[in-house]
Amino acid sequence: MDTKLCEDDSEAILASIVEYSHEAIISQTLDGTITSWNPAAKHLYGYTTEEIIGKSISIIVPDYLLNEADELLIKLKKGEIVSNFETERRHKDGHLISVSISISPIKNSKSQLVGVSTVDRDITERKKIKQLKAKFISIVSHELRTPLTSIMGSLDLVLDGTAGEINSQVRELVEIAAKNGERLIHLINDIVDIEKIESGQMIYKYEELNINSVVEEAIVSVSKSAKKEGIDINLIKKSPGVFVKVDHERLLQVLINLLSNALKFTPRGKHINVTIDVIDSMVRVSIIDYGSGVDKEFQDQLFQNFSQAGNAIQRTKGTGLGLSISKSIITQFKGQIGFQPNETTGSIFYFDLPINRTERP
Amino acid sequence: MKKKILIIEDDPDIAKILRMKLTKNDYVTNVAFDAITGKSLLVKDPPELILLDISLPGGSGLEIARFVTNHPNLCTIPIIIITAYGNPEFKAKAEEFGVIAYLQKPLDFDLLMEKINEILKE
Repeated sequence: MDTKLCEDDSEAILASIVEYSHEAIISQTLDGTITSWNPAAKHLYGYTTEEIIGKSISIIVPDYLLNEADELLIKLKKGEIVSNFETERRHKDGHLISVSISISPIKNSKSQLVGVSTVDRDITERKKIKQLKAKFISIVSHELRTPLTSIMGSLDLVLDGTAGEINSQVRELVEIAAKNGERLIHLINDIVDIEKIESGQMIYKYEELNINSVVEEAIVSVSKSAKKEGIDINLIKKSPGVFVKVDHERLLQVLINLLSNALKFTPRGKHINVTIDVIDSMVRVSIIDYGSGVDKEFQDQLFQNFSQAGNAIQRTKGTGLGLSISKSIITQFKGQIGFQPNETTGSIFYFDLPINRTERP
Repeated sequence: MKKKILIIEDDPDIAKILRMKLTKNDYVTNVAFDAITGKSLLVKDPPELILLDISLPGGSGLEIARFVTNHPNLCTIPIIIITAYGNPEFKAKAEEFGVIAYLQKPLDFDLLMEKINEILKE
């Protein structure tokens, strides 16, 4: 038996790919009339080929999404690519299905657009898992916050002397407990933030802010921890009269994250410098530390989730989510975040933000 | 005269810690562990400030905030929300009801004391 493929078989091969595909492959004319429907489409939507050919594609589009389907077609006519677009479709029995669809043009021999083909993938399960994950994180974070309040509050009362005098050894141990409680709080906040970013539920309240003031505010916020570690944070260069349009709380979060990272990697007694420079239409805030720096092989992964610099011995406290969260926030502000090694030792973490307005100092 | 703070918080441990912290800072405290007692204490013995949890037996803290804002004799009492919920919808509602600060648990007790001292200093 000859099992070799020849050129004449190409049509049969294509037909076979479509026939046995696990994904629904549907073709339609430009006015939405269905012209082909593979077995996976039958499995996904419930209609047989005989039932559906010649019918309008709107039969599987929920009423409230008819405009969206038209808009996708317009995009395609303009030559734009529609890939992995998440939406909903309706099964023959009426239930809704979450699908990811990719649309490609069908052109005739004169390269004229005559129809479209869509590849539809069922993502109902994936969506359910995503929702479940979001719910789980929300419940767990809420349930952890209440007992943590009692733990941190009790430690605070012991440390401030409300519960009576304590000796230095007890103080040291309670301070360790409090410090680790803080780590747990950061962990919870980071996990909640990353979930919000991934599900597109992070809310930003934009306002015009003087960049110098926000940087100074962030330095004040971490100055207590810096003092404890014997590290000075110096704002050595300001750019007066520069305003950016951002969410105050979120920009502060980025700055505190970068400053806290610099603190973690800076040895006791050394210092951290902060500069604010105008570069064309952007303002750059740089946090310069003189710590151990970032290993070369790790530099590419710095802004990814769960990244932490150094080997197991060098690892310090944190989730490895902070830089990834900072990157998402700065990107949201139409800026960029980056890293470069310090010339002598240590690291420079910086971000650039578009200047909204400048005012003469 | 010492200023009075009403704590409306259903977690007895947190209520106790807040009470100790506030007493040490020279405030007088009153505690309600549910929304109904909270409302009744508010009317019977109006405080100078309210520390208010959102999730409470017998009603929501946001409901109490609305009750205070709409009450002719209570509407000037400042409210600080202390909650484990960070939802923007709750925050927006709280702002709408004139809440002066919205602090998420775990509480930063130093920050809380700073806020209270600042609000009650006049």
